[in-house]
Amino acid sequence: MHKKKIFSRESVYFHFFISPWFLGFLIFTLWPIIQSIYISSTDWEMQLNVAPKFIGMANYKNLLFNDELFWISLKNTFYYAFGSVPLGLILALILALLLNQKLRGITIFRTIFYLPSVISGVAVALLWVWIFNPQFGIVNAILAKLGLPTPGWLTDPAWAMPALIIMSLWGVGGSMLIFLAGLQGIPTEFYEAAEIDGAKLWAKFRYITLPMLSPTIFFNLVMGIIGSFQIFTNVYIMTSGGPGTATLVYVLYLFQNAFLYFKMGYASAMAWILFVIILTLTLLVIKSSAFWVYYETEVKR
Amino acid sequence: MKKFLVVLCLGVMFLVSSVLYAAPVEIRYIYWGNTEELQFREEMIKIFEQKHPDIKVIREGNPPAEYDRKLTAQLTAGNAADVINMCNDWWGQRGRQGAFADLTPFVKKDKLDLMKLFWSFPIKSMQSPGILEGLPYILKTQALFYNKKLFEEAGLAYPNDNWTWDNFLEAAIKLTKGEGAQKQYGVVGFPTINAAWMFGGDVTSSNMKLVVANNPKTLKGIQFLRDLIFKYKVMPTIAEFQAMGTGVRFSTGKGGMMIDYSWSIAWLQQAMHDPWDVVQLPMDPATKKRYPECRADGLAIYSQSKNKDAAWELVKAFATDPDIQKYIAKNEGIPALKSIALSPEHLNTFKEGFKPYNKKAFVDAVSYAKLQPFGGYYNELGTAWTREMDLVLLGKESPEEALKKFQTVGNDILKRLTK
Repeated sequence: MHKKKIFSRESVYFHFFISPWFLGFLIFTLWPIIQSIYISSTDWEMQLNVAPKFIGMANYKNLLFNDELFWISLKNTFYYAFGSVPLGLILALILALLLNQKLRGITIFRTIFYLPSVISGVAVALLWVWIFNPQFGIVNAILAKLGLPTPGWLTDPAWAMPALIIMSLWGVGGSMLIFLAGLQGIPTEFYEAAEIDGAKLWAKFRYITLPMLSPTIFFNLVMGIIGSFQIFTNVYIMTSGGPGTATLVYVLYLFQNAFLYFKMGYASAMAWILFVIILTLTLLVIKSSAFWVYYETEVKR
Repeated sequence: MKKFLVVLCLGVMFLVSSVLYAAPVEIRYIYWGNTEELQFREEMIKIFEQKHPDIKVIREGNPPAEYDRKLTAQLTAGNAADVINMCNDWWGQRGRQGAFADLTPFVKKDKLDLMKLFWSFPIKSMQSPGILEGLPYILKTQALFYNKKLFEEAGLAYPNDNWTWDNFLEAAIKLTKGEGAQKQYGVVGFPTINAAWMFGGDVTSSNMKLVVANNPKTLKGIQFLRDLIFKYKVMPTIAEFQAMGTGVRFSTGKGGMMIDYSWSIAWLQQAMHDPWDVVQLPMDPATKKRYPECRADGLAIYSQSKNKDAAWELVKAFATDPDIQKYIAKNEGIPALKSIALSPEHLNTFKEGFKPYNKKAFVDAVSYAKLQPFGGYYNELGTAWTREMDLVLLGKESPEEALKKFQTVGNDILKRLTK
């Protein structure tokens, strides 16, 4: 009896304190999400100042069968994701391994490598425009010193996307930090036991570090995929999708449809297609995790 | 007793004053502008408010990039500002949607002779079928900017109003010298729309129903522009432009000529050390015609506004109040009011600290100006155009291919927007 009373008082407080967030979620997240499903089935050219007209699946049909730019943007986004995610993961892991050494002043290095991740996206994008500047940028200055060809980077359709992928490594500090936490969670006894058995550096990495780190890799992989499919700021600021359609990524095209051309129904349909793509990819990764992710407590048969 | 009388007097005064004194009418005015433009409009509003103490203007200034979104949202919600800043390159779209009130009755009531007060171009471009949707207050046109020092160094006479594109090319070749990052180019700014128009070509039909870009005249112009880069090498490539843009190249003396807008004057006055001037755009050698672009910013009244009379006062004042128009002139804008724009006071006086320049070149351009087809919700057409032109100027696509593709894509867009 006594317990229940306390519980109910707690529960009142709980609901009271949670209510702003809960209401916020209902009004500003859930409702727009539901609304966007409906809008995606309408022809709503907001600029023409006409009410949304229900057209069923026509937006989806147009996107899939009549819109060349939709497929181009999808292709570009996959290009970006397949370039930036593996590269980012590998670099973050290497950095984390280096920063996991027990050295004096290592925390300073950790801070330095994490620092880029806290700078605002727009500032970073503008900075990289200069780094990639074909005539005065530091990248081409170095390439020229080495006697290598100097591409036009953001102004060359062939190099614009690689440039964006290289740039994405700037934000590697976030996954590095998570890897670092994962590395520090690996019990040192494993390494000691392996050393007694005569394991070398590579064997320790291959048979202890990697398996023990696999849940962290899994997490970073999923977050990386989701993030890379949503790339927007850098492209919006640096290339606006150009030259031509070389960097027209999915979310940029969605943004253009929604907020430049005001095709709200069309843009909503695009958003839902993106949701399905990201969901599918994430589920695939989760499904595959059974084969390569190991949990300490798990018993393999 | 004395006390009672004082209270009584105060009471009567209060009653009388509250009857006589009506609170000022409030009107909302939505507009765009960067920091300087916002300040500029603020000053214009202040002049208006001083002359109309009965009207209070609620300012809704927006950064240019957000304006379309803000206005569209307001119109969709049915709660737009009473006075709306607009541009003639919207091609009467908003008027056709019923978003703007017809200004004709107000014009008639106040007996304004529009064709006398203004050039016909801005007025005509603010008419959509049946209604006058706005009154212009400031004009923005193009001219050919040239670096006097570089012309002298090359032993060339300055450009003049009789120049054709042949003279332009000839000078561009002679002005180009050097190599690499320090190369000096003959041309450092040439909007693609001017290339499309330069030999009498066009991008869209005049009623904006069709894309007609795929025609020999437009093709000739785009080819000309492409040749400046690849054949004559008198204009930087896109990569070089990214390294250093039009304005910086010109202002630092690395370019002999550029086609640019009147709004660049204020910046150039401060940034450029070499002597420079402007002249009208060169002519098509065959027809002796020139095709500069002209935009006119104007004010419109929201069709659902409850304060249309007060709103009209602001619209009228911006366009015709001599003090406001003179303020525009004094700050290096082209006033829409003809009498002020053509006055020697405007043409021959310059803002403090500014070097004199051929202001008349910009004013003259209004008479044969064209309207760019990418404003307002034709934005999407503009994106498609830029996409193709990028590829042409990168040398990745031929002008023929680009125009053909643009025509197909563009017509789809127009079909949708005019349905």
